[in-house]
Amino acid sequence: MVIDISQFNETYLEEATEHLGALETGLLELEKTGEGDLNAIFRAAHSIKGGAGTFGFMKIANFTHNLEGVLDKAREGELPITPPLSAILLQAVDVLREMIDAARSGEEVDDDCGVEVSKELNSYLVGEASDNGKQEVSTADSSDGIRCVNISFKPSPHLLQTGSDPLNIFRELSSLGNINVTIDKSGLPSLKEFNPESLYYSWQIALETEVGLDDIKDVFLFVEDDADIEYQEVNSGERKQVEEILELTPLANRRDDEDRRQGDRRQASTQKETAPKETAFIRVETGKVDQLINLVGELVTTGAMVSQHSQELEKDGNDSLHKVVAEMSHHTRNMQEAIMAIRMMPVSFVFNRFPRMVRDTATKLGKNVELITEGENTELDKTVIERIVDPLTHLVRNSVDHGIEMPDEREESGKPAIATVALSASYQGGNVIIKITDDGKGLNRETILAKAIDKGMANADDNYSDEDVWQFIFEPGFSTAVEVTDVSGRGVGMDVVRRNIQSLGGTIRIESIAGEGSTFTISLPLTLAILDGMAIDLSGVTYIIPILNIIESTRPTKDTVRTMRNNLEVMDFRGEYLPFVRLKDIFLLPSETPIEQGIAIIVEAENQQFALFIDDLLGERQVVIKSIEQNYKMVEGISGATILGDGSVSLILDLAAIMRKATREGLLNKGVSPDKIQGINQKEKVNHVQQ
Amino acid sequence: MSSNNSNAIATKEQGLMSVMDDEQSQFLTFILGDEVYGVDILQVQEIRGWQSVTPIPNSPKHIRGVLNLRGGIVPILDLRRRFNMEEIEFTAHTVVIVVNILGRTIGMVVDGVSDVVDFDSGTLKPAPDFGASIDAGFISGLAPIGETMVIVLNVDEILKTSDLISIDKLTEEVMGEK
Amino acid sequence: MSKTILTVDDSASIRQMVGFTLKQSGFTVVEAEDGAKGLVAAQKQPVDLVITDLNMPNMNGLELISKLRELPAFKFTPILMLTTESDDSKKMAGKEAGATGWIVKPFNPEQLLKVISRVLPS
Repeated sequence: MVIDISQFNETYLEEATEHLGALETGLLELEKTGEGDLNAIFRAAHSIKGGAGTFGFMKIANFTHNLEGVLDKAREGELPITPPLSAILLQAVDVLREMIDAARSGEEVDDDCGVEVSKELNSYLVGEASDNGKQEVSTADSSDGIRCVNISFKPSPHLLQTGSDPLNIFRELSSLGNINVTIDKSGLPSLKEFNPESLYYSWQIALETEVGLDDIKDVFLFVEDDADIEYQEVNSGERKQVEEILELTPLANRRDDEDRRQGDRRQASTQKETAPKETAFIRVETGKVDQLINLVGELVTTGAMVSQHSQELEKDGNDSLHKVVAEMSHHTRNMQEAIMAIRMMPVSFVFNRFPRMVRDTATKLGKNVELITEGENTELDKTVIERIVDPLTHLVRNSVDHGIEMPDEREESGKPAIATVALSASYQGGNVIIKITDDGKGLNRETILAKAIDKGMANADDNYSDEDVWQFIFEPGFSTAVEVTDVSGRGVGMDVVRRNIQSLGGTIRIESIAGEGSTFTISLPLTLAILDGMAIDLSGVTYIIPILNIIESTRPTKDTVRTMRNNLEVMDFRGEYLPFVRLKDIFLLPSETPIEQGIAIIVEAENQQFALFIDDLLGERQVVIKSIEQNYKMVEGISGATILGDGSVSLILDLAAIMRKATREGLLNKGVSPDKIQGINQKEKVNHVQQ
Repeated sequence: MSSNNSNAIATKEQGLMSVMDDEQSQFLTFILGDEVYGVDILQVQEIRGWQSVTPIPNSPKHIRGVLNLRGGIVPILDLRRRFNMEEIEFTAHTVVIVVNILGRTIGMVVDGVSDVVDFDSGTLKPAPDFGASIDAGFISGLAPIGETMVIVLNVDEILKTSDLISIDKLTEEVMGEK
Repeated sequence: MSKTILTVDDSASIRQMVGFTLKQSGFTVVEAEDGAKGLVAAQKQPVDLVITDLNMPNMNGLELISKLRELPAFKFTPILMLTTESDDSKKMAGKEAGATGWIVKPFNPEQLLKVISRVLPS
């Protein structure tokens, strides 16, 4: 039977990546605190190597060999992990990561990949006998005609208790040729001393076979330590026989010594092994989970349809059906939540990479930074986790690179020499809040504002709040490289950071105090698959607005909505003037609803509030998000679609995109109007007013 | 297949079998205006009756909107509008031919489905530069079936030029395949 | 009736590979991902053979083997350990703990089946 084991490659590589993470975390912990679970670190390397050989990733197996060797010595207390060694071990982690990534994408790594690191690791192993990874079995001299071997097999009495059975040995021997077994019962004790679990027999076996002596000895491999075994070749050359006996003796001796020595050590290390809390896992292909999510989404949709029909029936006095349906929807919702939970992963998957990155970046810059992480167990959808990696990496690196001052500078301003970057995650309603806080110098208001004015983003005459100023660094093309930074500039890529976060349905805010540090606060939805939305009507078409964006809804009047000099409309909302944008103008729809009969939804996107005018509110819905890009192109102002209770499609609005489009088309003037809108810093969500 | 049997489904398997024997292929023929058009049946996923769709804001006029097709969001292309033909009222005969092409599922609204015909692809004639009421680029060739001349559509080309797919994405995908 | 083999390994890939190979060969397979779970799993049904990794969290293979041997049902049950070439010493420690034999990593399905046939009569 041929079994193709390549089908397990993916599992192995995924597992190896996890082990690698544990290895890295362990090493960093060790470096930081001087203490760590060396057994767990060793085990991670050991597991990577064991699987690599089995699944045919020879480069990984070979490279891990020395790493494992060094870690083995370290856990035995023979090798202290000094800072230089720690650095090499971390380099080895990088090499392995490269190798695993290459294996995953089916590429070959360069032959010299890891050679240097491997050499360095090897230098720590010098003195240890190099076993070359080969077995000590001498080459077989098989197939040189029929031989006859007499074997004397005297097992120790406890042989059966190791699960061995002499019958199995005879059976296997008989597969090699003709055998003749003679039993010797002379060792049988008196009945009084007889222990039925012990073995008192010994055997004489005459074997006629074509295979070599090594193959015969191999049959006894598992029992050779629990038995006296002698081999005597009957009609073969004398010279050969002598040679083999000579070979056998030193080999056996050597192994015994080694065993005893290492056996004792083993015992000691066994007791050190701690038992971390373990949870049982099964590995499931993400495609299967996504299919479940889709199916349960369909179920929720169909459930909504049933519910709608049952309500119609209810009018005829049939309310028992409605009750059952309500219960069913309740179960369906629970099921949906449970299935969504499968996709949830703790943010530690992202956070875990930062200790290393912060360490490396700080070391390179000559800074001393301590990273504090909090709330690593907060869970987010796998896709959100995967897509938040880049923005977070950018922000954390920026904090270390540009936020944190050099040690002497810190000292001058009376700050502790060791700077702190804190990463935290927590739940807040249906969202997860991730904060990156540093105790560095904070954003430079003057520099940013000057740059913004220079770039034509800001008006020199206007009075901007700090929060308004911070927003400029998210503008495309904004870079404060010259003034603020030495390497890349805090502004570089910040527009991408914000865009990435927004594409996940999230928001980002900055708080910064000069000399005290900055906090970047990211708010993310728990999942990308469902959304709490408000169904609205415009021109007879139903759209969904994410609740996340909605601050309040209100019915405007002719008095509250005014047209300004530039023909743009603003709405007086609790004493503040907000841009008033008619969705029909953006979507070019023929709605003629008068102001006082429609609804203004106060929304916020990209930290900008505005009033969006629509025909009517239809109520809150939890909707399953579907991609429209799967079969169609991206549509500006639309982030996705969903299927309503009646089976029809409804589009989900992307308010940030709508605001950009409105601004571009001159339908919305943000920030710099004569009636400058001020003081809208309160982001509190007020309950939606339905009228 | 009668033209008003709007829910009839032409399976891919049938199409595949016919391709196996020689150069034979099958076309689904449909009516648009005064002419008979054909599409390779291998590209057809199913045929549905017309039902109202959700309009997509700021989309070209020939994109009628999107439809829920077993949980998927499928855009619907109005072939009359695409070919700049006169618009007509949708009737019970109006159908949507759902095609699977370029890795996408897209519906095309036509006046009515005519038939499934066997055709020897060797006898496909090149499209003339003039004569047909639509752009020659959209035509793969002409196939004489009995007494009618079926205009075989190049659906790939129609979809690529109908503003259905962002060009970047298409290029990316095509490059990715190579 | 097909024989039941308990495989204990913290590596999911090895467990999958071993499990797949054994199932293909007609064995019934019970899996556990560490020694402690292996010990529990071993007592849930009759087991004809145990294959265990040595390096595992939560009770390593050697402890598992000793503990199994203390159970009346496992007094004579063959137990194979998975070990690497470099752990020659482990073979001895394993034997002392009561292992029947070992399978050297890396191994392929054929080698695995061969070793099994040695300790488990078909």
